[in-house]
Amino acid sequence: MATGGRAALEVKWLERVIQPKVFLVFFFIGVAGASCAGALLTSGSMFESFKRVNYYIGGETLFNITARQLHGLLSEIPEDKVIVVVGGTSRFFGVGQSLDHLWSNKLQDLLGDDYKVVNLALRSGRPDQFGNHAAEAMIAAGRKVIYVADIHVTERFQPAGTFPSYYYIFYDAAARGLLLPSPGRDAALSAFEAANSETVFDLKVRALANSFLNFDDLWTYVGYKYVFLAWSDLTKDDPFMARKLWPDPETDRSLYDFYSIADMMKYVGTFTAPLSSPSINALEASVSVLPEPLRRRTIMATIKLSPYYTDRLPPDQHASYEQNYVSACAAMVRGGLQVAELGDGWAKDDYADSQHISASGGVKAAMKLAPLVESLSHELGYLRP
Amino acid sequence: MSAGLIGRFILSAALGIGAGVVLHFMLYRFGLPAHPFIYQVF
Repeated sequence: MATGGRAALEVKWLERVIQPKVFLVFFFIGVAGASCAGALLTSGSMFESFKRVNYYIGGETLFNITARQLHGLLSEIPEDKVIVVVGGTSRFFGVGQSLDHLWSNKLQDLLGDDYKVVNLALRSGRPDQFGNHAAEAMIAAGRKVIYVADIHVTERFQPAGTFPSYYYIFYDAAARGLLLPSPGRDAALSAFEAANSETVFDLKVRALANSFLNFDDLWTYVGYKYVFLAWSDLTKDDPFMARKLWPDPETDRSLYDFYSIADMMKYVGTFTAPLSSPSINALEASVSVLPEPLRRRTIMATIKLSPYYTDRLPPDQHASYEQNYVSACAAMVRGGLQVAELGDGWAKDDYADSQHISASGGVKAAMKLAPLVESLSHELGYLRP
Repeated sequence: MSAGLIGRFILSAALGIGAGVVLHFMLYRFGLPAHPFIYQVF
């Protein structure tokens, strides 16, 4: 037959050019070699002058720092130092603060050389993902760690983290055996995974495969150091440039004029509905998803909203807004966390907008948190008083 | 061993390694989200 004959001719031509068995053997060598390269290249820190997870080394531009890379970053901190991992939301990330005025740098200045502050808070981040997982890994490795993060009082801790785009880091760290045991998290995880079975399946398969083949680690490393190979609309000006070369784009900025007051009052209004008893109890119970060794080493911060908006609230709404902070803080304390309340007495200019902290607010935050970090550090026996 | 045979071996090995590395990259690339989140202040 003409078709069978043509196919046979094509195969014969191919075999004249390549040797299939040799091709196959070296194919597996190529996969294995790339896997080994991923492991070796991320055995230490790949970062150069790491300050925070800026836009260009963050999830928005398809750059997902892996658990192994986080581990490498923190492992290079000298063993005699107390690692202060900053986690949480864009508020602790420093939206509205340039690198020169990043609040966590002020925290470092106040704490001194016995400490190393590493800001792992994320834009759209939460206190139950990324930073806490990195802190867990260091606690498991026997390092001196304190975890400082911020939380919105209307939220609670989730077993794989709150924001879906960052679920991956929990499963990546879990597949690598980097996390501490946590019965509370395991219990909550069952319900979460049952409700999100398809997503969880994908995440688990990917994390398992990556734990053997290290593809996320290798190609994120290559993208950071040499050339980024996934096109993103947000980096279209230079889509392939190594991500380490992109400057941190955050500036000291006020966003008050960016949004209408009416829109912002709607947002602020979401903090005024009185927290129900079930909701408060759920927050207290959710603290247990953080492993006990991490809880003991954690300072969880709440941050009041900008008085530019909250002063406009009717008295009854203002009262319930204040009570919500009291209730949430008490719930977290009952759950076993140390809580720091930020924002009392702060002025409009201590904020970049309704919730993010300006440079001056960052200084106040650092000055409030530094003595708490020192006190906890002594309580844990990290440093002699 | 003829020059042709050595040449085929080297080509096969190079193509094999290349294909392996490309597969390794595809495992990473196809796992990236199709629509990464866009951070919004609110």
